[in-house]
Amino acid sequence: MFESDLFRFAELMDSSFINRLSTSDSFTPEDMKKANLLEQHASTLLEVKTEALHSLSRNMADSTVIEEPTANDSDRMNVWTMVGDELKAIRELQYLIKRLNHCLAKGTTGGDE
Amino acid sequence: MKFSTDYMKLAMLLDSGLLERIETVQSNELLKDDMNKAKRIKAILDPMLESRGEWRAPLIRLMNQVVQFSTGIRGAVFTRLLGYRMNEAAHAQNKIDRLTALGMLSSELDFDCDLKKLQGHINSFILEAEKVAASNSILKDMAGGGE
Repeated sequence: MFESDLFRFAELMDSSFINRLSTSDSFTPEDMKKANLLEQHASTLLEVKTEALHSLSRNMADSTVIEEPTANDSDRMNVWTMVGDELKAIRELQYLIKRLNHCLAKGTTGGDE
Repeated sequence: MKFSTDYMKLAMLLDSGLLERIETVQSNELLKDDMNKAKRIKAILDPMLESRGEWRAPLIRLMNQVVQFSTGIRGAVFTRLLGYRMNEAAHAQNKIDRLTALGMLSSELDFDCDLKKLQGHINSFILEAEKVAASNSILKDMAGGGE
């Protein structure tokens, strides 16, 4: 079995569901169930990733040993690339959560009516 | 919805049913769509693991430098300029920051282990699926010859 949080999140992602999230405004009860589970995992993941990245960048900024890399400094360049990738992933998680919340709100409204 | 990061692209291709089939690869249960998906996963996974390997070692080195710097020089500066109390608070914050950053690193390393495990399973899965496809094609040829 796979153990990391990121894999547990990945198991819930489903391309057809994710595509429906942005193209449709009507969702099945199964969609709602999945949206709810995925929203919980995505929010936890976002919180952990954001906090960790803030801490990491504070440490990097506070330390004079970690300055902006020059072109021939591959070590620093790699770390900065990694931080950049993580920031991109965080932005995509935020977008996903926004769409999931939209889906969940539709379900709540539909149920109340 | 278009995601651009490798991680999100990979996440969209994985699902628990496929992961289970990949882990317990059985030729009679292979679905044609699984093979296509496995190849798409492999195309993202291999370069992703390679690029993650490139940042892991320098990050660990830099983290070690940060730990040494934070506990040494910065501690001394805070003690002189701001007094013991502030120093203590700064140390507490540093400690939390470092632990959080190290926690992130550790979680990324767990993720790496899972990615490597997935890479092993995917490679065996593709080999097995190709064998099944080849034997099916032989069977088809035999059936075709008899007609």
